[in-house]
Amino acid sequence: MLRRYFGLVKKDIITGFRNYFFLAVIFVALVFVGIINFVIPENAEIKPNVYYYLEYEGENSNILGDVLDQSEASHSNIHSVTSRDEIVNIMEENFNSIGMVIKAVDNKPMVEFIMQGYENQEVVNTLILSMKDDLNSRIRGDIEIETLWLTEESYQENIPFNKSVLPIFLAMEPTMLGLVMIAAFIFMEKDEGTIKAYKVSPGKIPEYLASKITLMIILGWISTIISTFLVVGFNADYLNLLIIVTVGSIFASALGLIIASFFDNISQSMVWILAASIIFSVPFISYFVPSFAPLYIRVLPTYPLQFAIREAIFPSGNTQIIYSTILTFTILSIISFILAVFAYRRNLARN
Amino acid sequence: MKRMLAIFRRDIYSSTRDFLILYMIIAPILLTVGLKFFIPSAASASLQFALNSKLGAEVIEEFEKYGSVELYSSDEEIKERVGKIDDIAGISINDKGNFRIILEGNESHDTKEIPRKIVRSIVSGEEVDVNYKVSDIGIQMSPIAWIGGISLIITAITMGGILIGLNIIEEKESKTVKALNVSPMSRLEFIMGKSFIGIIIPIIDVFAILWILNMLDVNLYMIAVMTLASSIIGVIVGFLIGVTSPNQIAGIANMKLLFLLVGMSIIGAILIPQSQHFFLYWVPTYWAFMGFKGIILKTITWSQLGIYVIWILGLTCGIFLLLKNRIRKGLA
Amino acid sequence: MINVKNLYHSYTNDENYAVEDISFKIEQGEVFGFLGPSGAGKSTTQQILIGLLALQQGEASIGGYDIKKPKEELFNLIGVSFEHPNVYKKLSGLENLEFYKKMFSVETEDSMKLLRMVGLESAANKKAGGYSKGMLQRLVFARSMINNPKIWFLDEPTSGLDPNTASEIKKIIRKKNDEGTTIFLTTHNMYIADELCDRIAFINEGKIELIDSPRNLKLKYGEKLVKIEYKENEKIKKESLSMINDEDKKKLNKLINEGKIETMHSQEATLEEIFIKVTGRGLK
Repeated sequence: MLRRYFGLVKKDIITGFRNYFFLAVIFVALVFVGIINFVIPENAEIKPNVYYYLEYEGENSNILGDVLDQSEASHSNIHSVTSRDEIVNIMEENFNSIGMVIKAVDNKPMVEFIMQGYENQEVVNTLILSMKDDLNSRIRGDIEIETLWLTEESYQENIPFNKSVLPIFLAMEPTMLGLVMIAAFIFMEKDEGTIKAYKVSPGKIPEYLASKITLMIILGWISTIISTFLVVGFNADYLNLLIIVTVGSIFASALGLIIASFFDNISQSMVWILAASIIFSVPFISYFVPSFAPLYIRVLPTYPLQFAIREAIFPSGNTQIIYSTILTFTILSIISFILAVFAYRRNLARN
Repeated sequence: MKRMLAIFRRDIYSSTRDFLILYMIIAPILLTVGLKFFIPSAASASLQFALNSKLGAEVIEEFEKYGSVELYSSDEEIKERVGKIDDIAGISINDKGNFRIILEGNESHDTKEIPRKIVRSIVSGEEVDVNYKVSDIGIQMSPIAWIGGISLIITAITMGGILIGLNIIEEKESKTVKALNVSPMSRLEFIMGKSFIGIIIPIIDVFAILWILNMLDVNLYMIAVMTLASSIIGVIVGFLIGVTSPNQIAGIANMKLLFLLVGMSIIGAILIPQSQHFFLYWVPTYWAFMGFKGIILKTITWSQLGIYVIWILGLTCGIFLLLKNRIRKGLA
Repeated sequence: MINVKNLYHSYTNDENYAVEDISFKIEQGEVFGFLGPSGAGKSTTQQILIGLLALQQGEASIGGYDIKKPKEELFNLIGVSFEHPNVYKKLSGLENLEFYKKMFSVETEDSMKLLRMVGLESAANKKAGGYSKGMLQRLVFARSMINNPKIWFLDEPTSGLDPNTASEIKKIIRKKNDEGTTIFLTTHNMYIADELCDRIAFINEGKIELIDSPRNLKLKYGEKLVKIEYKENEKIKKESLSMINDEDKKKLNKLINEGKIETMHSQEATLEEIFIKVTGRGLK
């Protein structure tokens, strides 16, 4: 059995190599590394940019000025401009921005928040609250609130923005690689008719599928190691990272196999496989906006996956998520592999 | 013309036979329906708080102003909730009756800071006399809606290209291209005939997507022009995939690279500051994204649109001319 | 070695049978030919036997193994040479064989030796994608021998080969048979069936019409066949008439009596002619 499996794996590696799969995977990883390291700015923000104009010059102007200066110094997304019109112009250019104008009305400072228009009331309330709190704190000093930390306090936000994109790449490319690529392999062998030759040998379907999945895992490892090493060097938990990629890869490949088994040719199945990969990318929104996690996102397996990968690359002490994700995907992998075997028994018997 | 239509009919036939065209048209539409359900929840996204119900109605009401509130009867339950993957701040009271915030540690800045600010606003009064006012610049559509919509439009356009590519690979594999080459049909007719499909699918899909997302109040002529121009990208790319891929498996590998490029240009256009957009100027889909964005947000003029279309046509013609010989050889 | 009883198969899962009530028995060391035109049900029967099609109705066993639930041991026992070459195009001829070799858990042949046997030695390290049709055919043939099969399924083994190569292939088949391999040969080529087979089954429209040895068939039909050319309405007509069939005999008598016969030869029937006699249709 093992002899057959290794024979199959060797053959699949040669075939994959001669079809430039390895080259394509390495190329994609290098392109991404290039984008992360050189194109995406280190200090880009998903949070909106705030542009403010301080016109007010009355009695509390020094307090207001201090608060704003300090905010500008500690947050890279806060910028001072010189007129209200300028704020509006910038906001029309950049959808992810808000404005703030402070002027005197009846001798009292009046803070005007200029929103895009689509923001919800909670966001507006939070903005006003923040401003009030900053001003009040300046006068009365800080009030400490007791805080209980379940693990230890850490700021994932200190990760440079460009590098924080890496887990998304790893969740999508090396891990979900098999979803798209494995179907190509299966249909190629179907076209060549080699699967028939395999069927009249003692080889079994689980061995055949396991070998294909193995190739996907190897490609995933290559992509993971190249991209992770070139972005963060040795500072990642490579062992756990590779385990996550492995179990994720098994799941994605088996799913690709199951989808492909419903169709006669690659073109038909590709439409649905691409649709599936688009759905699997929806949780990436929660990666950037972690407090946004409705149920339909949480049930997608890529949701925990991306956070587990982040934990493996930028450890924050929360290893729990790594282990629970590995466990989830191990179970998912076993189930989907069994389903894939059944799907192919049925599919091959039909043809 | 007759021969071009014959090629077109063959493509339609061979693709409908296995429902491929139907799938290609339906898949983006289904995803759009998904997006439509997604938009409201994304637009109302806010901070999450897990409150101990002991805090009382007044405090709970105060927190509800700033985000969605979940109630728990004990601190243990709050801790369990806070420990989950997503960001949520726990708020409770300690033995002395003071507020206590429960955090996991890896939450984002806002989830850590805002509950403290809310608590401070509850426990202490106003110190600075300032008035507040809120106005907006009138953009009602959430970014999720238009970014999602445009991404799906570009997906639909790329699908048209993929179909062309797969059709060519199929003809190459079944060697029918050779039979067509010895017929009186010119190569141009062949190319034109193949291209129909890559233009028709996007047009159907784009209007369906806009209709589902209630975005049909935009300038539809502009949409039509942009869709036509962009579908040429799909067509050219489809040809490239078709002629450079010896078989379907290589076609898929090439498509992966293509999707990377398309995805990159969209994500880049959203994330990269405007001043660095020149990094993306060479990708035709970047201009398609910017064009559709302008039309849907109604910020674009016909002359700007014209410039975008010229970029798209210029880049795709450039690619085509650069690879003309490759295409000719690939079809021979 | 092969035992088939009342085999039925329908592709549409209804009464529309592609093969109907097929029964036969193949002894160890025998070369059994399945002869019939395209679409007669030859391939369907073979595909059921080698497990590519599900056994719907009837019984069949190969080497004592029930094929309803094909076991690993069964596949170790058989070799299949496909009619349409199916090899990994991106692998070389040698790599194809080396890969296939590892699938078996019985003693296997040396890949190079097999390639030499079919004349592919010099192309051993060339990718199969670059092989000609005939070369692919030979590669598939070589592959089917890799596990020293006890039962060998050959589907049109010489079609598309030049006469020289075809005769080499036939030599190999005979040699293997001499070594004790049981062979199940499907073909529409009567010459190869005649040359190689110990017994032949005529299959037509999904049914076996008869099973006998080529020699018996010829004895039965052949010696008594007369080939005549005669004139009818100022046109020359050719016909083969059997000397045992009453209608044919009557016709011959009539032609002789009328004095219309131009030429007349008695001759041994080819299998094709016998096939036409038996089934009423040709082998093409």
